[in-house]
Amino acid sequence: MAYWMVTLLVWAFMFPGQSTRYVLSKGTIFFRSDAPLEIIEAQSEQLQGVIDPATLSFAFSVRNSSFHGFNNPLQQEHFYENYMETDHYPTTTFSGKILDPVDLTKEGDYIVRAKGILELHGIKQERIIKSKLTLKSGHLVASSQFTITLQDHNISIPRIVYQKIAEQIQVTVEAEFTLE
Amino acid sequence: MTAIVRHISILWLITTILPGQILAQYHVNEIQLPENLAGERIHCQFEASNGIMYFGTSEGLYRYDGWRFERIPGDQLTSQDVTSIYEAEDHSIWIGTGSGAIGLMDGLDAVALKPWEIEEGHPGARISGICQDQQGILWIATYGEGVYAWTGHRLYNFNQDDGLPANEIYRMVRAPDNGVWISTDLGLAHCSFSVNKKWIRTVSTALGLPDNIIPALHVHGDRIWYGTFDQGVGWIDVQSNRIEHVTNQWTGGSASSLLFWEKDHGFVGTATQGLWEMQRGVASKVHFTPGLSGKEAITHLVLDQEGMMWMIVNEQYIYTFLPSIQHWDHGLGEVQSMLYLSSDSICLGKSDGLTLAHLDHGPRLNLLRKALPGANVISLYHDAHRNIYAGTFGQGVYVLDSRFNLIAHWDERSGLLNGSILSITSQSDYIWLATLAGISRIRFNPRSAQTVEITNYTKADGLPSNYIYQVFTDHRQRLWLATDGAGVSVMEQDTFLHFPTVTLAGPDGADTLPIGNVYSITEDGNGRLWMNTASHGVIGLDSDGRVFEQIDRTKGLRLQEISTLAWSGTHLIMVDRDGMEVFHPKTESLTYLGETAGLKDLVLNLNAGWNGPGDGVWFVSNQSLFHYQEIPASRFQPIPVIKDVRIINEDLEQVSTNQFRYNQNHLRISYAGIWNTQPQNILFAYRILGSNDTTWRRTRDHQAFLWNLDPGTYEFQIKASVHGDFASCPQTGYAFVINNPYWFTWWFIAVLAAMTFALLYLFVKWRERVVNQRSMMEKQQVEAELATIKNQINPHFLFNSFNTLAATIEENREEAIEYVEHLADFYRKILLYGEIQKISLSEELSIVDEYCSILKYRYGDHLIINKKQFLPVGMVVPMTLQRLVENAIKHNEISRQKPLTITIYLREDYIGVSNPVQVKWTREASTGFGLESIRKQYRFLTSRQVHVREDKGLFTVEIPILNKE
Repeated sequence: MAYWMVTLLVWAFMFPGQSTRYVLSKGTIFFRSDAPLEIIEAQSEQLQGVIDPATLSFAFSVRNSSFHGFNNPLQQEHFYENYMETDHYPTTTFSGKILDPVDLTKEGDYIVRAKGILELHGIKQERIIKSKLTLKSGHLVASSQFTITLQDHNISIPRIVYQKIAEQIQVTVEAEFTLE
Repeated sequence: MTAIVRHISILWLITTILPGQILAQYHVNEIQLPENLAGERIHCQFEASNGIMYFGTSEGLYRYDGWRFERIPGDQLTSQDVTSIYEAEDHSIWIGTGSGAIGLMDGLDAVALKPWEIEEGHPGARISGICQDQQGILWIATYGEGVYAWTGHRLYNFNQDDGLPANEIYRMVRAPDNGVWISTDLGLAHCSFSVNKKWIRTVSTALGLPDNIIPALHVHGDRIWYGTFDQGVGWIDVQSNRIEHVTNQWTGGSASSLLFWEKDHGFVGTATQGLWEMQRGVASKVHFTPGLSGKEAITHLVLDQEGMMWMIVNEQYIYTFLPSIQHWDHGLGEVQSMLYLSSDSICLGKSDGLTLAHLDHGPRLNLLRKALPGANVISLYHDAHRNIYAGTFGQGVYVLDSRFNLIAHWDERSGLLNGSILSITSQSDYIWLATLAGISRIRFNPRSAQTVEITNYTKADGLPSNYIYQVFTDHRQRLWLATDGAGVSVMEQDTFLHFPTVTLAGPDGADTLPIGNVYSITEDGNGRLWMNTASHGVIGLDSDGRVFEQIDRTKGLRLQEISTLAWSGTHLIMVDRDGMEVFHPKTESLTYLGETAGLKDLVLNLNAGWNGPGDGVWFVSNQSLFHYQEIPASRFQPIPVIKDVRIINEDLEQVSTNQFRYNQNHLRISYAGIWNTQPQNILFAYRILGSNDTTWRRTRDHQAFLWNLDPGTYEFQIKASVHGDFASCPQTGYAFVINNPYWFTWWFIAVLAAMTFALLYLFVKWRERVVNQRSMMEKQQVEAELATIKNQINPHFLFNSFNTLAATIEENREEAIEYVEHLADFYRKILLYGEIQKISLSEELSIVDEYCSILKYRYGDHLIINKKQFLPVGMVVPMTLQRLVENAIKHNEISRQKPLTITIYLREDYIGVSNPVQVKWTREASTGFGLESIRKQYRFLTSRQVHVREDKGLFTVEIPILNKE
């Protein structure tokens, strides 16, 4: 959380003249692991983010311990302690720049590709994530679906639960932004 | 002697300075584009590994097999702007479009493009390049979004934020080590991706690049060639990182494409100044026949596997040319002999003297001056000291030094046998001359220009013929003679060894044949000799004089009279008036170059070719000087390619299977032979293994129609050739199966057989029953007949009848007569119906009436026949009712006290006879035979039962009426 606050502060200082940024007002991040023996799903509403329409830069963050909705408390505990190691790596962030030259001051639907660094479990991976942006009356709605490969982020699965956790985790993000 | 020579030199060396610079030209061919590509833009071209050319156009992806263009379908990709094409290592073909979308074909035989869809989405800017690096990473360059790297798992982006000089990429090439090189407006960059990390190294003017705008890029070996906006071209060595700018004086404007096939030899396509050739550091503009203006934009260059150059001109036309053949139109008329002196000088011998020419690196041919005016120069030679020997017709030999001063002249007066010199060579200190009257050996010291001695050899000295076409010295310093009519001879240690015959493999085994005329001899890089013979084509001899190769018509040689035979380094070159044939000893293949290379109607003299060490092969016709040099090629004969298979009887639907149903047995197979050098000369031979006729069929068609194939396993095999000799041609095949129809499958046959047996069995059973029934019926009928007759002539009946008759005669004669008539009628009817199976009910009733009227006489009113009113319809067995009535009378008492009433009635479709049971005192013995026989008779005729009842003292028999409608 502290890390996130620092990022936001840096942002604020980086673009002092920027008065118009889209700041996430309501967001959900949802993931699903579709393994042969078990389907694990969880979500968090504690998604934070900001998009700067002038530079097309963005930053997102979510606290790893805010995920809920697991099948049982034991699963949640495993998620926190064994896989995400929330004590060591409290947040997951994705920040970078939108590749497509979109004008986020004009209303409309845009399909954009966001290129950025996804930091998860302490491992940084560059990713291009395709998202849909809808801008209407000052509100920006972003929705995106992508996959995370556990191996890419050094999350190892014990042999025993191999068939319970998928190699590829499907992530869905829905977020609403307002101009600030 | 020297005084005379001096005198002649003053007299003859009146040299003329010739003006003029002759430009080298390549013969260019325009590829005819299909109508729907007229006016469209052609962005890029690519040669797939099977030799098929692909073109990216503003109207989609096209492929060209040398015969026709075909558009590759692919839904929304069909008419996209295709800006980039690449074949990956797995032979999938990738395309990039103007919108950034990417498509691919799974393999070289895939029929359509499909979109490449990944989670990251496709780029949003025009794709300017696709290539795969040494690690298998697929790189996609865009004009606007930098470069993408596809690891097979994730897509990564390299752009300015990562350190790329610019996001607009002009060109991308695969790096010799790993990753790719890209060019932008702000310099070059080397990009690679390893250990999950992006690596970028930029090269710009700061590091020595002459210009940051790099529209063209090419890789050859370790060199990355760059083409700049206005500073020409140069290269970077990736090993040493050295940057070498090659063109210091560049006037070609912006480079737009590059292609190098040797370290320092290649082409530069420019944006507004046509094509330029780079050789040994010198750039020169390329000129073409038929002419191009030289102001074209050459945006894309490809050197195909055959060594043919493809260029996209003005983004609208496709041209090809053979960079191996260059020519200069010399305008000198008939040239009788030529000499190539090191890399820059050429001498041309004409009937009126010698023309000296200089080749600059232009490569322009500068005609410098004329020498030996009036000398009819028919042979030329130079020695190691650059002294030129000009053999003339009738005037002996002139020797010029390297400054073209005449230093010696030998003719008949000097001691030569004859003044006409057909060929000249040297052997250690000797000069050898082939004259019309034998050969002459001259010991000559070129340094002091001293003629020491002249020795002549004629037939008398052991020569096989006095007429020698050529004297030739091989690398072992042996002197070879090409004779008129007597094969070849070799002189070793002052003795002649003759090879008048050769042993050739003929159709009937080895054949020893006289060689006859040999016009010329040349030696290849392996020390083997090649002879140009008049009647056996070109014969290759190993160093022991054994034939190891014969190139003639059976090998596909189409040339008639070869005037120049020469070795170009790895190929044997043969030239005649119709063109040039190249023999590749490694693959034993012959390549013919004709009009494609601008070779047509050549007037060539025997000595008008350079048969000696030099840079490639030179030959000269009355119009042009030609230079052939080997261009690295990997293919010397056409590759057969099966393009598609369609079912004729199903609307020519293209198939991607090789399993067909029995009724899909009319197939059309389209194929091509990829041979861009001479596509119009392609011949095919195909056969169908598995059919009745498996012989090779020759055709020029690009399609084979396979009609009416029976079910079975087949293989369609195809070969392609340019000269009709298919023996050494590669072949390709298409195996397929026409399946049996279901009625030929084992299960169907088994079921059918079982059913047939079952039916047969049933039929036999049925027949058996019918036959049995019939015989039974016949038997029954005979029995019934017999019984009837027996019954009717029952003595009792007769006795009673006669008694009645006797009684009646006395009382009433007329009545008696009537009675006898009734009796006779009755018996007649018995006889009449005895053999008939069925009679109508009305007839039967009339029999009953007859019978009853006889009985009336006897029983009078005691017998009452109560016949109910009904319509007599249908049939009955004859005598049935009569027998029933008779039965009733027989078994019942009839008396005044007990009169008997017999009722005959109709109930539905039965006719019934009933009577009350009145048991007689004297019971007549009953056999029960009567009723039983009626029953049996009816059983054969109907399924309905005969009902016999005794109920409440009433005895009833009901007979089914037959055929009652």
